[in-house]
Amino acid sequence: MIGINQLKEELVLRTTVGSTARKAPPRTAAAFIRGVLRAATAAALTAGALVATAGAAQAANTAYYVDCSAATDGSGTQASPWNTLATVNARTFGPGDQILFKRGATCTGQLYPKGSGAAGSPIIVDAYGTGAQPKISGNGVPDAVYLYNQEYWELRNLDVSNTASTTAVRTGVRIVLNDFGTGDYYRIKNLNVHDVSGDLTKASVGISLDVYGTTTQTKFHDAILDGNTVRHVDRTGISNSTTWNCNPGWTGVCSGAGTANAFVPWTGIVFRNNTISDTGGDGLIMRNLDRGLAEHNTVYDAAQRSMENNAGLWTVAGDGDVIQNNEVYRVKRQPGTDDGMAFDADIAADSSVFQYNYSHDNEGGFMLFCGQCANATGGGSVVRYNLSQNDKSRFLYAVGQTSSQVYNNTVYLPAGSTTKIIEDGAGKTTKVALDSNIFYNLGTGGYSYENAAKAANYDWSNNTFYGHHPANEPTDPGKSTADPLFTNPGGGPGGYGLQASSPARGSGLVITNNGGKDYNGNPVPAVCRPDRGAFQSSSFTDSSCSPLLANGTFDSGASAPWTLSPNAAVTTAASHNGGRSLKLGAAPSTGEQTIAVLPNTTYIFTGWMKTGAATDTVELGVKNHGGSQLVAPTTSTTWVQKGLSFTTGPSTTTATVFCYHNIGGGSAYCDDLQVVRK
Amino acid sequence: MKPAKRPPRMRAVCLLAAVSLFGSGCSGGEEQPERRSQLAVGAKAPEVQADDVLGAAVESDGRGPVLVAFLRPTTGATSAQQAAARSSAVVAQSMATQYAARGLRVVIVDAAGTEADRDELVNLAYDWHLDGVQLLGPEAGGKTAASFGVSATPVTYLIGPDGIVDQRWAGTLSAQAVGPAVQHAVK
Repeated sequence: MIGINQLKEELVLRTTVGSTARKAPPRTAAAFIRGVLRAATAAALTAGALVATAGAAQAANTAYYVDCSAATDGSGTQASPWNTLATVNARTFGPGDQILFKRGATCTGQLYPKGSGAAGSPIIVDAYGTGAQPKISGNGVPDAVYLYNQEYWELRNLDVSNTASTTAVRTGVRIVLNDFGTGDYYRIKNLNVHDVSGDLTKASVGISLDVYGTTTQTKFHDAILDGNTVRHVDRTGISNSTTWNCNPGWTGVCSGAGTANAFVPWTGIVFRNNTISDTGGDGLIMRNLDRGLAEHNTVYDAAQRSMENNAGLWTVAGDGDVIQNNEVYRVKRQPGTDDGMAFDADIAADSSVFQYNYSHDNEGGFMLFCGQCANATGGGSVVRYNLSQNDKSRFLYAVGQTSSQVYNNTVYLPAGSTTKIIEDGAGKTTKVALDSNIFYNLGTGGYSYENAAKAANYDWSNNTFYGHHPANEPTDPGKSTADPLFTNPGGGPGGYGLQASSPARGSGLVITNNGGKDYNGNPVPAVCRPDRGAFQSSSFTDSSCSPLLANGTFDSGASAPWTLSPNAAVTTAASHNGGRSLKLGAAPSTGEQTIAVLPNTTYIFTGWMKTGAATDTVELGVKNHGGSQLVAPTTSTTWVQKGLSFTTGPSTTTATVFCYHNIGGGSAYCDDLQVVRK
Repeated sequence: MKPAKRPPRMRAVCLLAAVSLFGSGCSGGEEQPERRSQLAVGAKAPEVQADDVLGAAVESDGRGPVLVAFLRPTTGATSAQQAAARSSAVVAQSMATQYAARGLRVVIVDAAGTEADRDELVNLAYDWHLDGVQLLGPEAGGKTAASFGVSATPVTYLIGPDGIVDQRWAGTLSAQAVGPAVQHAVK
């Protein structure tokens, strides 16, 4: 599995692209041309379409017109348009120039215009006239649309294909920076990229941004891919790659031509509103990004032909990527492969957030945690407020990830499903807290751990397990097995909202920095207890709620009302959330707080902890509650959540909760502590 | 809302009139739209007869299942309205892709307050790669929007097979919200 995942991240490098012989493309009709929009209308509307700044050739801010259906190669004005890509490619364009292709016309070969725009004056490639998008038919060139060491470009409203009788490394659109430095400002909007006869290597892509080279640190900045449709391409729908990829968390990669290139993450990269379908392999890959964003994309029927591991939409070696409001469905899991899921926090991906996504009917399941694959150190993923419906194989395929959180997701598995909730494997450790989720499992799938001990790496709190209950169903101090009373499970009006009498209402854990809204964009509480699952159905008023445990985040910097050992203090040296935590010095060191409780009542105490060394132990616990002292320890050197439940005695009105560094000479940390009533 | 072929001559007239009407064929382009109060869940959906921007007829006796999204995608809309329209259109297209074979019809209505440029809308239909989704407009006075009582966009209606409004979503349409509901509606 690890080997396969390493293969998954192979980088196939190419450098130059030459021109190829062109031949006339087949004149296939656009699939949706219909009605009475016809050539006459288009022709009539073409005349006055876009602003033509007819001026001297090669002057800036000039509009050049291209009509590949024109009989002669003109001067580039609207009245006398160019008619070949060769003419366009021979030109070096400047800031503010526009290259406008006539709608309804088809140009064959490679579009490779030269030059760069400038800040505020990009070079724009667009369409003019009315009707179907102008076609750029590569007819088997390496890249149908190509830019090399150029910046400040916009590519809009083109129909791009690149078919050939035999497969090879091919793309629809490729922009390359090679030892360039920072390439700034790219907009790729409303392209229809299809039928790219690529091979099944990862260098074959529908739309690809690539950085090569080893001498000048190079990256893309401010690139937005918006509203593109990519279909029937091999192998990948949309992706990026870089040789400047020596992520500190993945030192094994360093594939830059044998040189250990520095890590140069890209900035300002957005994938939005794209629809990707019928890909041979992956749908959308986000590589080496600094806070990349993928939102409102639709990916379906991915991984149709590649027999390697592929997923729908995933991030690798990035930091703080956000993947939200996407729909991914029908990703294929080919025989003998492990993946085929909707989403993936892959090798060395740190602090990725997957939220508000809709995953359904994916053969490989909903989510892959592979941050520590290939001996990397990725972790800290947050997976929240997603809906997984009818996904196959497993909900979470966990093959290495630290300090991650999976909370407030709704998972629906219909009768007949064999989908597992957890599949743990690959000899890697996954440490994840799963809180306030609803697993509505009408099938027979359960929990699969590589060995029994690894089950302890999964901390469960306040989840609802409805339906199937295998013998190894997790212990969970806030477990509910009651019907969550969805409004209409399996879909329908209200779908997975909670009925008024649902026990899942108001029984979740309060999560620090929870994003503030649920799956439907409705507010979720920050103080009051939220509902379980992805939908906040109950109303709340945070100002009227008081946490049972005060100052559980330490984020104000104050320690009160905690009572601390002399060698314990609030610190900024480590934090699970919010910038501060409680630092406990060499054992013994503790922080305690006495809270008001009700008699004969069960409470849940949870928190995040880590130690400075694996030989140290830190634990959270409760005492003086009318029963025996209870503790939940860990030796983890990365943040893990632990929890316990306690029931107060018949006359108990207070209890003392604590975080205690009881073994070891280093330091230990506690953060995001809370007590809730069960 | 059933796509239907009209006699060619009538269809051409409709194109020239560039309007959509409710219960009055395509002869009333000069009529002032009657603005209803906002159509609520449980209400009877209005009848629609119109041509989409590519000339295909859209006729409806109000029965679905049909997803009707009112958007502001064209020049004159704010950038926020245009962004919301683009994201919503992706979702509308996704619903058509998944559920058209099971009877769902998907219509996007340009809900501009003023009559939009037809060429712009025609190009939009191509540039957004709408396939199996019908784009209505331009409309003098926004008649379809008026009949649904639409005053702000985006807003999307899911009309059930009985012609009753099954769901209404205000704001950018999201697959996670609409997907399960549509799936249920086409069962």
